[in-house]
Amino acid sequence: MPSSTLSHPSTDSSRRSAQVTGKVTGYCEIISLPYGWGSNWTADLPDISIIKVRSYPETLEQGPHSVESVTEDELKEVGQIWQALENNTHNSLNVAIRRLNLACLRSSEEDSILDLVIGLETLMVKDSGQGEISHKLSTRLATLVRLFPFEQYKPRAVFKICKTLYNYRSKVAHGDSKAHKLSKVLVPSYNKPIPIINVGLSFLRYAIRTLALNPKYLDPDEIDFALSQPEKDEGRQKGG
Amino acid sequence: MVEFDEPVFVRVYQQWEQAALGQNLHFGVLVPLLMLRVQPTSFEHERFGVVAMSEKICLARNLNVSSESWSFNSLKNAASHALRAS
Repeated sequence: MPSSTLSHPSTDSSRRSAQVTGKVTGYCEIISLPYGWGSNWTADLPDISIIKVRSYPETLEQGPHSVESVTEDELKEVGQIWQALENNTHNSLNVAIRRLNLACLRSSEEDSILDLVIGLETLMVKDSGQGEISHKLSTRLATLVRLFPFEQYKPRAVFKICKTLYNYRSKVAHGDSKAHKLSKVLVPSYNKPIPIINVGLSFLRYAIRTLALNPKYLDPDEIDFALSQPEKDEGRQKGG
Repeated sequence: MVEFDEPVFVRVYQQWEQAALGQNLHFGVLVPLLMLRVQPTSFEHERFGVVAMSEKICLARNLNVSSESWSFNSLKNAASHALRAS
């Protein structure tokens, strides 16, 4: 499962990871490095203290895995998102980021799908008491993609995939033994079906990035209003 | 006569040291990034940095490895860069 966890190492905001690059990574240690002092030495090595943690996808420990590279441009984008998240005052973004991190760390795809959809719902369907959640989620995410283009996805494809994603989540949540039939989906520019969990991770990552940089749309009414407006090229901005 | 016991002394001394010199004992926090290489050897941002870990830090990380599994150690050692809090 793709994940990227580049986060503030010293505070709870490590949970608010800026999932930007989509690389498979994580961390297993937090190191404290004394500057110019220490209480115990081995040879001339620094007197570091290590706190063990387990915050990486299980797949990293299962056999060969290639080391991925991150470019300077990607790191600049991480910084941009980080800044936006630090300035963020909306709890929904924090919840969505926590769910994205959890989804990346789960060993079971069925657990991950629940986290992913909760994350998307938190961001896009705050008014969940009224109307069909699946329809609202799909419509709003498709509208967001119309406003802020996302990779090769067209709004119509996002709408359709999002419905399937929610349907899969419902079958998993209700213990349907045929849930696995929805675990793959056809997406634009791929010739064969790919795991829907990967598409869901991309969608949630995209939604977090876009809404962190454009917090106005954290209000669902703004997205609904945008839906009622004719499409304008000049209104399009960088999103995911 | 009591024999000098370094571990016991260090435990007591460190408490005193922290209380008396805490504000002068600066340290950094590093988070090694697993299976990730950073194309520029270092990167600085207002809120964080990504740095290549020195050979000494890599060696110091491996002073106590006996209780950990082979797969965990392989993964742990596949970290060349670390995130640093600014």
